[in-house]
Amino acid sequence: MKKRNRKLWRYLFGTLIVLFVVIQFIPVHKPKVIKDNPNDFLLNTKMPAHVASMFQESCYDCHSNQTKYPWYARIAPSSWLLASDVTEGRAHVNFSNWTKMSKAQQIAALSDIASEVKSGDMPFWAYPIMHPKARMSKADRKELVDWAQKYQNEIFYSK
Amino acid sequence: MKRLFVGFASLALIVALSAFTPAKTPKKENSQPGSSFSMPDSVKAIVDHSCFMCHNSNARGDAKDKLNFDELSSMKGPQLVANLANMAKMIKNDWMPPRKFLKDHPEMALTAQQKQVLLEWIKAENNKIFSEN
Repeated sequence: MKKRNRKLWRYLFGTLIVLFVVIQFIPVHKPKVIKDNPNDFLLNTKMPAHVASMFQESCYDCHSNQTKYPWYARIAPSSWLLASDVTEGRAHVNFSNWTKMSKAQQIAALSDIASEVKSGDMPFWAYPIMHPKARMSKADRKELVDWAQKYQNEIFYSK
Repeated sequence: MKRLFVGFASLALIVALSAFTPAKTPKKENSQPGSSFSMPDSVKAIVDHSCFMCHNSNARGDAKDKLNFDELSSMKGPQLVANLANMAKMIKNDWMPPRKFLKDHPEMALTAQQKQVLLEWIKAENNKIFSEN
């Protein structure tokens, strides 16, 4: 009985390893990294420097073309997760395209920054676990939210 | 005694029935003083059919926190613009109605034509808001 059990575990473990190797060959579509983004949000707005650096650390991996892929982005299945997160994040808002967005889209993005950061829905809870620099204090959040709300009005009333 | 029982029973029935009839929300005028927000009938029909079920004040779930059609008409300025622009994003990306939801309610899916009607309305509303401020 014991012997059979050990055999079973060995089969299971072997299968897992084979599976792990096999899934490495499944093509993953990871969004491309583009370094030079003249239409970028932070380049074209006057966000206070310390808020801006925090914003970049906390948001730009998924919401810009300047994704910094970690080492585990090369290994399945984590690569799948990252690829889908970045794809979805950029589809929601890509801050690299800021000046190409309409006024209405910019206002919507700023309003989303304010509400998502205020509620704590963003950054997505799992993200700061792997990215300690993306942990925002209450004061940090408030500063970002206040700025986003102010700037949203500025854009609305600008001619 | 019997009459008393019948009385109580019918009272209970009335209470139960009224609990199950949907609460009436006061019908809002299409345009309100102070804001020129308007929703033509063609748009309203689509919204009522495909969106309103989750995005209203009495709906269960948290969809109404993201967008509430009962509150939209009283919104103004940047808040209204943001709501409209996000609506357009959801429609363009086919994120709404959610795919999961459509499995049980396939008839609520937006057709290409319905999407166009909504998107054109959103664009016109946003332009109007900007030109008025």
